[in-house]
Amino acid sequence: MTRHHTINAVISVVLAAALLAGACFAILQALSWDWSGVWAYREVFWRGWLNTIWISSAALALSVMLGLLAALGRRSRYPALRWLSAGYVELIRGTPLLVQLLILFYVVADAVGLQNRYTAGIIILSIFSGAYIAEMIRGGIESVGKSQLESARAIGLTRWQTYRHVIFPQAVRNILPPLAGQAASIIKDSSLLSILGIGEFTLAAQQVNSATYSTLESYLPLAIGYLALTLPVSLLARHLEHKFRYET
Amino acid sequence: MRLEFDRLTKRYGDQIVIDDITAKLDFPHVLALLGPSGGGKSTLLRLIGGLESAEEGSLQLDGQPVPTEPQSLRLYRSQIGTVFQSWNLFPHLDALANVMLPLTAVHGLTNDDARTRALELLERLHLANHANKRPAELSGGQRQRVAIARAVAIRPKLLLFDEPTSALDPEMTAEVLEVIADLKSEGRTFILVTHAMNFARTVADQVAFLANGKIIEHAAAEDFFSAPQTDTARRFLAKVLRY
Repeated sequence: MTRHHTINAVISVVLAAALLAGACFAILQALSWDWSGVWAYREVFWRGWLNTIWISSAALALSVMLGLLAALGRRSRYPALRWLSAGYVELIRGTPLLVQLLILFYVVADAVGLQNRYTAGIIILSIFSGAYIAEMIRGGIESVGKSQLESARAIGLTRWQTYRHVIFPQAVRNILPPLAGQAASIIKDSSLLSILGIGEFTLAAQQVNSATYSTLESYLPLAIGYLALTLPVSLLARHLEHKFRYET
Repeated sequence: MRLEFDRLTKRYGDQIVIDDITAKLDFPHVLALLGPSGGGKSTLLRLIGGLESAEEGSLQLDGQPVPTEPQSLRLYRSQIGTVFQSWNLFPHLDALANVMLPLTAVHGLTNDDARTRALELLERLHLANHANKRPAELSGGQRQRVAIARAVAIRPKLLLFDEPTSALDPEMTAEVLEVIADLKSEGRTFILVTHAMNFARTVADQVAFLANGKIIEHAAAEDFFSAPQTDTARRFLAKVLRY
């Protein structure tokens, strides 16, 4: 990043912070703040926040694997695998996460006897996110030129060697920036797991709220806690985009 | 080397690109495929290289048919060095790694052996100072010489050049043609598709002239250029050699 960009970024962050502070101040005037009730529950917030981090990390890892499988499946020689992968991607991308959570948790997880709600939550979130990642990986793979595949064939590389030595190293630069953006999405989307009673950050804030009856004091830290995770990830995505655009 | 085509036909959709070719071509070292654009030269070269498969007929190289079964076809391709018009180097690898990849991945050389062999070749092609540059950092002529090094490094039984200088300016063309001429004096066997007629005349032993998907005539290079037998070839030569 150039000096110019750094200054721009700093100014933007300061402006945004000033706006946010102003808004907070206005609300603070209107309502009488009482942080004492919420402060007593800081442990609950902390644990929920940590849970959100590891749930999101696990879901990211699992969804990358699922996405990779689905992307390769779509390029498979076998029609059945191609249809299966395409069906998965379209089905998941065509329905809301909330609906998937309800169906997969209360119907499917129940039917297969999956008891642990954390495991179930992570798997469902991964299935959701994996469909989007599959399309990113597919796009990345397809961006590798035909002449490259021809060259690999001429040399005598096997299919797997072609992926390993030619396609993946070139596709990664196209996949990484949107993947970092998807990581931020997973963190935000994981808040929906609260409806399944999974003790992540949002559920923690709801619990604090119902115990203290101080709504704003419970939910303002919630928003800030998410921003603290997603902002660095978004900046990373921006940085990767920038880096790979010029370095060919 | 001997090339035999038996009723060889290749189509892309409705378009017939190679039209029922039956011919025997013998050449000591260098065969040039010449003719107007769209006449089927590149396609014929790709069929010889095992990069395309024919719809009908067969093709034999020194009495061995080009395999159709995927596994043996891959093996066949790995013994032929192909150089493309737009070099087709791997952009994420530097020159050295480009030359080494087929050696380690396909031909089972150790990293050290592959490095030694690749560096030796790069040096011979005056690329020693560019071994650690990626294709984007090299000139067109340098890229094409790296591509030639990659094709030669595997010690192929046959080299194929598909218009190796068509994307280059005259100066770079000269440096690449020089390398190809050197390969001939080393006694290597190759087939060349080119529009550089004077070069073909000096380097080729044998010429096959293609137009409309057929081999119109084939002859020793000197005979073809001094006394073409068909009207089509005469018109073609008169046109391309005028300027």
